[in-house]
Amino acid sequence: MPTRRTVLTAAVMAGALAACTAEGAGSDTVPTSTPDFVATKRALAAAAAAVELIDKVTLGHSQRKRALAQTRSIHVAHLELLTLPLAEGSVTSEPHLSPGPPFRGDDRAAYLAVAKEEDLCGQTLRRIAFQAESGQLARVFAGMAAATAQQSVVLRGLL
Amino acid sequence: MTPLESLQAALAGEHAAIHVYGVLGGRVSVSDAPATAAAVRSAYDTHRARRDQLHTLVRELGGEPVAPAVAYDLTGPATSTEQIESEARGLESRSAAVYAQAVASTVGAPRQWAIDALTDAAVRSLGFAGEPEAYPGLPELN
Repeated sequence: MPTRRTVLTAAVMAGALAACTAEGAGSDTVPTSTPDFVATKRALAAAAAAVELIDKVTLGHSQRKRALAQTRSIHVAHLELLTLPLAEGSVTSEPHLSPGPPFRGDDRAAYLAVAKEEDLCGQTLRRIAFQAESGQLARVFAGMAAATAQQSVVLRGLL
Repeated sequence: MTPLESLQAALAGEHAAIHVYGVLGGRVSVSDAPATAAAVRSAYDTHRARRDQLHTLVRELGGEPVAPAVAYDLTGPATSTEQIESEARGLESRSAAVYAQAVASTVGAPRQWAIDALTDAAVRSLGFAGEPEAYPGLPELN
């Protein structure tokens, strides 16, 4: 069941996306060919890549899983927020990802790899925040970028 | 909110931040809490630089930069290191929210400035024992 917050924020996101075109203004439907829609898909891809890497490095490592739980949950929250308005209300709290082969390397290499992925994700989010046509959407992307910057700092503290 | 209004709000926030960090800098113990003292000093310098940048951005939009208030209240006693860190966290959190609004209200160079400032405030709060968030600067989503 979606929480009240996710429903509320999905509405915000849908409104932000719809507001970026005259065609979409005042409509509940989300336009699928606008720059902001494309930007949202890029943000989704960046967050999904971050979760995928975390799942790779934590496969069979309970200690790493605990250490990276917060980072993962933040990206899942971002995925949930970005996915909701695009999926017409169908909610999945966990991304359906195939983590692929497990990460080869020690804990330091694992945390460093995830920190670098956070940096990459943050760069993408900052870029699309700058480019977004919708101010509200830009604000959301910028907030997400700030969250990845925090995670990068926290992860480097583990090294 | 217009671009100019959002930048003026950010500038008003910088005036408050500079004042409060000045007070905190006078209270933090360099010998007992060197990391906190260094973080307060760094924050003070950063907010002073941002104030100057905002002066320029406001003027470029044809505005007259808002002046600082006569005085600013701290939200708590801010005498122990924990209280000083709490005050600083609150300050960075409020700054982040103002920067996020500026992201929404501007385009181009001012928006880039606001994105960078938001990220910096989010990271800076960690130096004051802050907890990472999913949406720094967006309190309604956390």
